[in-house]
Amino acid sequence: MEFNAIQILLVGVWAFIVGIDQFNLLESLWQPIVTGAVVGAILGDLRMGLIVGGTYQLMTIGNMPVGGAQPPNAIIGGIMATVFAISSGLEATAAVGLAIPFALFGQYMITLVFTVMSPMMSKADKMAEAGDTKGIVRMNYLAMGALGLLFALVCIGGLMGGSALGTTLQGIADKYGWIMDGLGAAGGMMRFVGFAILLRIMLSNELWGIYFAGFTLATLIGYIPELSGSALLLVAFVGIAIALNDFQTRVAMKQNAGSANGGDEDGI
Amino acid sequence: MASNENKILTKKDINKLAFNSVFLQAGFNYERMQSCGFLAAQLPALKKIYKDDKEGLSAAMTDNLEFINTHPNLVGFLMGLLISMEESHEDRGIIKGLKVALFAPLAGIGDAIFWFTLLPIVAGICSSMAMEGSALGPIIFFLVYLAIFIMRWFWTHLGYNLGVKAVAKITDLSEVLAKAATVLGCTVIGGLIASYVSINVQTEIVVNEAKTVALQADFFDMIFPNILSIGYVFLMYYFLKKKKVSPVVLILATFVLSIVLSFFGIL
Repeated sequence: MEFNAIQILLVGVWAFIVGIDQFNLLESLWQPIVTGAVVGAILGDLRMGLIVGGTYQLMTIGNMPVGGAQPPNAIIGGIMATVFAISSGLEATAAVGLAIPFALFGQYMITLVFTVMSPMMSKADKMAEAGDTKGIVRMNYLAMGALGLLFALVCIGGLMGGSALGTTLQGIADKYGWIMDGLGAAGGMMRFVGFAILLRIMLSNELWGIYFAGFTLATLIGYIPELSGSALLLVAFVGIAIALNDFQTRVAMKQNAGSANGGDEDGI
Repeated sequence: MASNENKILTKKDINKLAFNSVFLQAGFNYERMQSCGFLAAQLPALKKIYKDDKEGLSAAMTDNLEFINTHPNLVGFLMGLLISMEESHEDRGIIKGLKVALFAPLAGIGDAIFWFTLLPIVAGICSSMAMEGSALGPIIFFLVYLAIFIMRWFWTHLGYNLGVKAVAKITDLSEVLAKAATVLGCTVIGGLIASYVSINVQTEIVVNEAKTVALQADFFDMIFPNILSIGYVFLMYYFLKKKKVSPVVLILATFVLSIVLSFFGIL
């Protein structure tokens, strides 16, 4: 499927917006679930965009930009996955798998921008000393615009290459089924890495039990057909109950012990 | 504390501060993280406070350009608090000290609530809707984050109105609050692994003509369902935490492994 100039331009504009949005503005438009739907609608297949966006979103749940770390970039990955799925009719999971190398590329791109901006700080210091308020504001927004523009260009390039690649990909998919199956499996397996990253940050020793409880509860609920759709929400309710209990206990403990010193445990 | 006589800033100024906080990470870099945006957001208010006092403005700007890395959704609270102190011309050392003392706890609370708890729940539920082709998925997702966005105004006014009174509260409760949010987060992550990820092994072992053993249905599922999912997460966790392997390496390894296993017809 070929895309026309207006579609390519619109995706470029969206990439510019979400390139900025990933660190500023609403900080949610860039998430694959939203971007997949928007790009899908632009390219004329909203349904596919929704499916790919949802699939990609699940994969990225643990891969988040926390504390200055940069995960594989979900914007480039999400847009490319949608493009691949629509242009070549790949399965959503296979399209997601295929997009992962592009997401890694996006990650390095951001690392580059953040590195280039570092030496600019000595310039900012001079502006601060001189009380140059306009200079600071200008520097702030210029950096933001540059990042957005970079994303727009890369996504336009990816879109043009991706739609040209479409027929070739289709050919490969017909010939070597295992490659596409493998990409599909990779798209699914990638979620595990995300969850593991999340657990590395969150899990302190005393939380293992709760983690397993959540797992067990969701497995149980998942086997009741009437409830399987709302499994996660139900697990969350139980989680809230435990969290509230934990919160109240700790506050009570703090009040009894006096508020002078806190604990020094691992985790957050 | 700011008394009513030396109030310079109006409600409008604080609203503007909240809006500017949206661009906290515009000038993000590895040396000072969010400092550029943190300063830029406060500039309109600072200019109004210091007016012709060039030296005062320059000192405030230099202080606020120092390293900071906090949570974007909650930063308004810190900005409001600091601006209220600037307005009452507190000692620079105290203002700076407070900023340094508070930004990390706020980041901890914010990450625990927004990234580790809210995102897995909202994204998990909305993704499953989207994967069935329902546009409600992204719409609900968007609305939740729109609400968080609007909360910025509330946080900023809260910080400004509480002034230094807030400091004791924050430092006292931050750890407890982050911990409770993490408890909820861990429960949900466990649930997510069981609900939304699965490994399906295709291999079947032919014992004799009458009997074949399907590894998935007759072996793994018999121990307990989802055992492979939680096992693989464990393996990844082990490499990340104990062996300090970079996530990128694990992503690539998983990628290659999936394709190889698929080639041999195992996955």
